[in-house]
Amino acid sequence: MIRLGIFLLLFVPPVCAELSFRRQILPLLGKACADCHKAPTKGTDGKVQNPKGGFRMDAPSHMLKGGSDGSGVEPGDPDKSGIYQRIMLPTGHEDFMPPKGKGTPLSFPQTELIKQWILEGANFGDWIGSDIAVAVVPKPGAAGLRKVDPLAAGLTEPAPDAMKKLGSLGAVVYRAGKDSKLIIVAFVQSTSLIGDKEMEHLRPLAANITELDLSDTKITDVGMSVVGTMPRLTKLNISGTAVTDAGVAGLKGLVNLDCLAAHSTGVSDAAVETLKSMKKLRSVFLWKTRVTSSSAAELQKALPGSSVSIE
Amino acid sequence: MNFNDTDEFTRRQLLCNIAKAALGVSVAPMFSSSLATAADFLPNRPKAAKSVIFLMMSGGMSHLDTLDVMGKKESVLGETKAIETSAKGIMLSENLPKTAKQMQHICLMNGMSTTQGAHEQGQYLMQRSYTMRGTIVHPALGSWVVRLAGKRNNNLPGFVAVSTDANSAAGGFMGAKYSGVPIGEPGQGLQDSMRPSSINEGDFEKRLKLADAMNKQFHTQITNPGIREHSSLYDDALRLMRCEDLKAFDVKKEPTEISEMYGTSRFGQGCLLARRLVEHGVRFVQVTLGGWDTHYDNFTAVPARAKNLDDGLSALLKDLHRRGMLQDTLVAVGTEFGRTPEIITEHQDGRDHYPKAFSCLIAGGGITGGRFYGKKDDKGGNVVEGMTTPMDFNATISYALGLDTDQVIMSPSGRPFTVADKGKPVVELFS
Ligand code: HEC
Repeated sequence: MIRLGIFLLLFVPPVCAELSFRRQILPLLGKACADCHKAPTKGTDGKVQNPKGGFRMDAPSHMLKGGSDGSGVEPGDPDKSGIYQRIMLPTGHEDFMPPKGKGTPLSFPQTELIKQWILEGANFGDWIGSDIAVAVVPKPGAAGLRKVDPLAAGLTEPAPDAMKKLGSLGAVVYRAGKDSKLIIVAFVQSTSLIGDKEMEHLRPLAANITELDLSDTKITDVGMSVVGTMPRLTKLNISGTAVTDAGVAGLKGLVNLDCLAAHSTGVSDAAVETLKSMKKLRSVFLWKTRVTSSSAAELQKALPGSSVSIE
Repeated sequence: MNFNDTDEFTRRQLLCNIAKAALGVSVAPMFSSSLATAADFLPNRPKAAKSVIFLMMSGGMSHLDTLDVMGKKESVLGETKAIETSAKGIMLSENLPKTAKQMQHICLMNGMSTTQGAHEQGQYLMQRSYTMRGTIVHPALGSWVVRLAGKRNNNLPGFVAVSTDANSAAGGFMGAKYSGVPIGEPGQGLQDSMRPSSINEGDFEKRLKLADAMNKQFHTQITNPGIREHSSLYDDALRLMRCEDLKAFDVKKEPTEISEMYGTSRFGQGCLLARRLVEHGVRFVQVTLGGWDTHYDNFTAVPARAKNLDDGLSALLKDLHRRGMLQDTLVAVGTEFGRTPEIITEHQDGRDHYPKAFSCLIAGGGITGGRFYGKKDDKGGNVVEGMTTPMDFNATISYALGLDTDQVIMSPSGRPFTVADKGKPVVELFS
């Protein structure tokens, strides 16, 4: 019985099979696009064939650079990526790729695959194509960080004084990445000294905070009202605090919240009602609260693709 | 013995005496507040993990009896059987039944391969990403992490090494302040740093001042750069004693049912301590479990070891997850090498060292679990897909933390080093 299981397993693809550029994307582009978008070549007639539109697809660096009109691949953003824009045009459009009569248009599942790959950060894996670089992996984060950036649109620099003030209270305060205007604030040290009063110092940075860790602090529902004013908050930890349903109710407007850790708090099923309306929530941690398992299951249903854990 | 050795000895002795006299602390010169803090750190990727718990299986863990049973021939598995896990299509050895239930959080690294077949050299490469040399000591991974990402809690050390030989947690050329703070018995926490009960607070302050005066005098007399690093020893130790964060070290504060879940072994309690430390902002905790060197009687020795690993690891993953901390905490299980597919009957069914192919695992820290990366042939003797070196493994951990794996740190002798040498992160784990 067990041996049979093992035998079947040989056919389970390893993890790298999941959206591998080399295996899933490259063959599509290779077939549909490569002929016209490669390095300059000399034809049989001796004439040099330049890549069409000045756009080469024979290496990650060229694809990221784009062609004479601009964008080729914009990691994290299919709609700004030339390759995706053009394969999604109506087939009759003059900019459609591959050009009319010059190849088979990509199918819907194929274009979806390309979209997904761009959304995931356009990771080229170990494919370097004609790039003679030593590094086979794209610079970590270079692509990924842009994914957060839409969130930072229209944002001003975080106020340095306010950041310093939080630092003096023992908080760890740092930017979410190089050149990012989003910041991460975590109270990890001497948390018993942090209460509702200190929350006021978060106000000047409310627009910039994207992650906030208040676990084990002395904040209550009163201090939570400040948290409700952070439109770019994606991750919040209030575990081990005295926060109750009333405090959670104030989070309703946080449309970007993706992760909420609230174990060992005073929240109950009433909080779950609030959370149900927060459609971006993906992970919710409610261990050691009064939230019932049926209500947790309902929440999980209301938020497709989410994980709600109560133990 | 050369002059440097003598120097080292007197310096240690001196610190040791002063510290002991004043605090009852065994030498722990690592709580330097002059370390960078996380505020200076710019993570290289969004949602970067914040801490690492590195579980080091020292002695060379037999991959065929633990993490890599999938698709393997009975002749190489011997007595070991495969069991199903919580992740569809993934199997583990029956020696890890509780871990199997946490498989949804885990990615097995089954393509591991190293060049080092001796324990010391193998561990050195695994923990430091460089080959051992006579001329330099490379910093441990934990030292790198604190150096590049800074401390998250200034009242606690950035790097703690539980049940770990102090040598393998040494900061090397980065100096003592980046070394892991050694904790021998996790159950006893930082017992030594508590004020000896026979001394009342007034007395204690007096003795401290005295020691401080002695220390200042010592500084004016001897200007060895090594000593400056230790100058804040008292401040730090004192802060530690008074600070509420110190309770992070006290595993006795845990409710019985949680403590029991981790198992009563030293390793299990070490895992519990690791969780508490990470909760309080410690960047890097290493917990070591020895006894994997199963040349003899492999099929009795491995299940015994594996039980400790299974209790500790499964409890750690479960506990971190329900607290919402697993995304922020990368848990790695590493070892210096694997063991031979051949079962050596003359050695009561033992297995010898096998560097060419072995297995590790990574869980949490932003990876997608329930998968495996890399594959060996059906004998478990050759990596056929996804070859991963110790450098790649460490680069992957660094990547999870958002560290810049290209950032060069110069050794005092002016040579350039990076956190994982030339290792390439396995970025696929994160998608
Ligand atoms: C038969 C040749 C041919 C094929 C095949 C082809 N293209 Fe093109 N491509 C062109 C020509 C000609 C242009 C320049 C004219 C234009 O901009 O529409 C161009 C331009 C582009 C541009 C704009 C570059 C810039 O910045 O100006 C993109 C992006 C592009 N192609 C993507 C693709 C993709 C993706 C595929 C495969 C699905 C593809 N092409 C297949 C001929 C081709």
